[in-house]
Amino acid sequence: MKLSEATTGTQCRIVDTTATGRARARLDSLGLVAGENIHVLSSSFAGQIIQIKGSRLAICKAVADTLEIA
Amino acid sequence: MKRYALIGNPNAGKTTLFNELTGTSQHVGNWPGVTVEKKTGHLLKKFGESAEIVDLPGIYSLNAHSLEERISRDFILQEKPDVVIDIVEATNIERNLYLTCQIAELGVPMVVALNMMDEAQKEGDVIDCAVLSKELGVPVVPITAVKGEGVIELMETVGAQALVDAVSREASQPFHDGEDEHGHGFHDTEDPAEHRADHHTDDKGRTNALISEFKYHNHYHGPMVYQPSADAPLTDEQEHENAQRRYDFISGVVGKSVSKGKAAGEFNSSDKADKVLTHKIWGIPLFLLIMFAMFHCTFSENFLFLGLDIPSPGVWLQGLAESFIEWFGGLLEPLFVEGSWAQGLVIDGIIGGVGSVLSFLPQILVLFFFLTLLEDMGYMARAAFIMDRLLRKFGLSGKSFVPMLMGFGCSVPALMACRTMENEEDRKMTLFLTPFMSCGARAPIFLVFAGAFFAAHADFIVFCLYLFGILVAILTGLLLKKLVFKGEVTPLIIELPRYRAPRAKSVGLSLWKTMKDYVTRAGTIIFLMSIVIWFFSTFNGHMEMVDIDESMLAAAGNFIAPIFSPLGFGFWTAGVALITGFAAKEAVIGTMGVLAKVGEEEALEGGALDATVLGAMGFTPLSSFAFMVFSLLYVPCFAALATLKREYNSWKWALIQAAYSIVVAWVCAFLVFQVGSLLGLA
Repeated sequence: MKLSEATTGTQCRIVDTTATGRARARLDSLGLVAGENIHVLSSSFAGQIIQIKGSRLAICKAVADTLEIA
Repeated sequence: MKRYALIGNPNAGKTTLFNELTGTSQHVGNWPGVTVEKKTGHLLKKFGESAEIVDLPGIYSLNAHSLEERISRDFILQEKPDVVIDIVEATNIERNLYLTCQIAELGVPMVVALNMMDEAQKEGDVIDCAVLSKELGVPVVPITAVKGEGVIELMETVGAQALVDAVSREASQPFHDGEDEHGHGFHDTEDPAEHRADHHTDDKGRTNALISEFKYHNHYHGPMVYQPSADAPLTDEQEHENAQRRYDFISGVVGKSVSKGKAAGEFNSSDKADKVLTHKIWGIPLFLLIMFAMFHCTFSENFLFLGLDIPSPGVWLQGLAESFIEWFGGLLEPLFVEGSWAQGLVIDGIIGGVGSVLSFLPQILVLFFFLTLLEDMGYMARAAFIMDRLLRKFGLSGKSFVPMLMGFGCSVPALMACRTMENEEDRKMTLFLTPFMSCGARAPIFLVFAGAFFAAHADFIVFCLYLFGILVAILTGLLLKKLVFKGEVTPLIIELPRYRAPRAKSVGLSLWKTMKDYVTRAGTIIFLMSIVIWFFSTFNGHMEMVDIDESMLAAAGNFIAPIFSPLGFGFWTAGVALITGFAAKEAVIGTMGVLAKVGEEEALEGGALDATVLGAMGFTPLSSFAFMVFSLLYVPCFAALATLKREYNSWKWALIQAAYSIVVAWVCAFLVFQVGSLLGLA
């Protein structure tokens, strides 16, 4: 499923991303790559706050939509 | 002289270390040809021999997708700093090492400064720097930049590294007996490209050392990756493969050298604070409350609503500054012949003009103090996230928020801050809207007028004006989105740094910078303007000293005054003040001070620009409100306009912005005055 569908407290793993080009490069440099574990700290209409590699990222729905998780 | 470059992720503590290393010897300029800020400074003596420190922009990677990334990459490859100091956040080591790998791949002499060791220890993380260093193949020095711990050791390592490199570069021994022998210079006769091809390139053309650039390479043990060349940028697939290979390498390195104190997913105190501060319901009201508290502490005459006539710290400090300037003026007064032109120039012109502007310095510092505090504590990134959803509705992204918030301080740095936005359309939009955020220089206008006519509710009126500026920006944003910038808004990804206690040193330095800028402007632009205004207000066309209402300035003011008649302030003093406000918004009040001869008034009554003085000019409460609205919105000052031009890289958009804001200002002030009159408020 998509990361944007994950609820608060979900622990999951990134399996794929549909982002391309610059958007993909940004995900890469922030550690949002396949195989990484994610902890969804908060999920609301504002977007999501996730914990990855010991850092917290706030991402909007458009970004979360491009990340496939399992 | 040696030159060291500082590089690292945003929030890794790069600025803190830079401040620690250079103290106040900082020089802020621009990178050549572009408008990204370049900070340089001199290494303090206690840290070693004389060296220049160059602070590179905070970045997450060297992929060259953004301007900052390109600048950093080009600087390292072309300017060849003696050593690159890479700041890595210990509590966020895996992600930070990604950039480390990319720097090391360039083959540069480098040292990793593992920062925030104290926080890592608090979390229970144990990091074995010796193992980390060995696995990476790059020297690692643990530091806690905030406390200055480990910085001397860091600079010793950096100095030694620079020395080693110099020696090994000069050494012309044949080298490379075995694979483990990295970190060497080149034999003059050996072609670096050939050396790379022979020893550091795999069958797919991937490399782990761009040695040709430096005629040197470090001991880096990282994976072989594709490197872009001028004529062949990397494909998506290559870049992605690089990323995967680097992260695999990093996982291995971190696995051997770090033991985490907390299991993944366990909450730390920062996460707990975020539960409240970024709450889906409470986040926005809390944010507004914080903003209001900030303005209340800066502008309120009735601190904490106690009704005890206790002023807020901002108002109180401003009072002190005013008394000081008055005392200073009084001290100079006897030195001049009563009624002479010299007395007019110094007392009325310079002390009156520059003094009125300087007296607001304390309040601007208080406002900046709070903004810096919030930034330093890590709240600003949350604010961007909280506001993202809302701003998205108006065609902006949460990233527009920080520049716009900075706009409350000063439009010039705020416009410059827009450079961090990756999307060109978002950036142009934000540039257009930022001047509507009421800058610190406009505050004196509100303070004087609201203080004179609405003393009991001054803080509320000022707050409303700030909100009104935001409203105009929002409506303008919607308009632009409909007509001009129709593209999609860039999706937001923003790192939320850990909440931290604010640091006296960084807040202090930032305030010092603000103060220096403000005082410099008061001493230059405002000083000159004060003299010019005094000249035009004292002489008529025949170079005769006349009363102000027969002066050249009055003529100019009279000429444009009719434009302002429907707004309720169609008299020459207002016209003149607004003309001078284009040079710098502070000058509006400075000019009023000169025009009202407040210097003398003060001596007589002990009051500054109050309701009586302004009333004598022709202001009523309603027209003063219209005047405040007009001042809030009409053209950015000359400095801001010049910055707009530079950031847009064309006069077209800067001039459109200026013309648009004059029209909007006129219409809004017109509505305020006319509707107010109809309601019988005049």
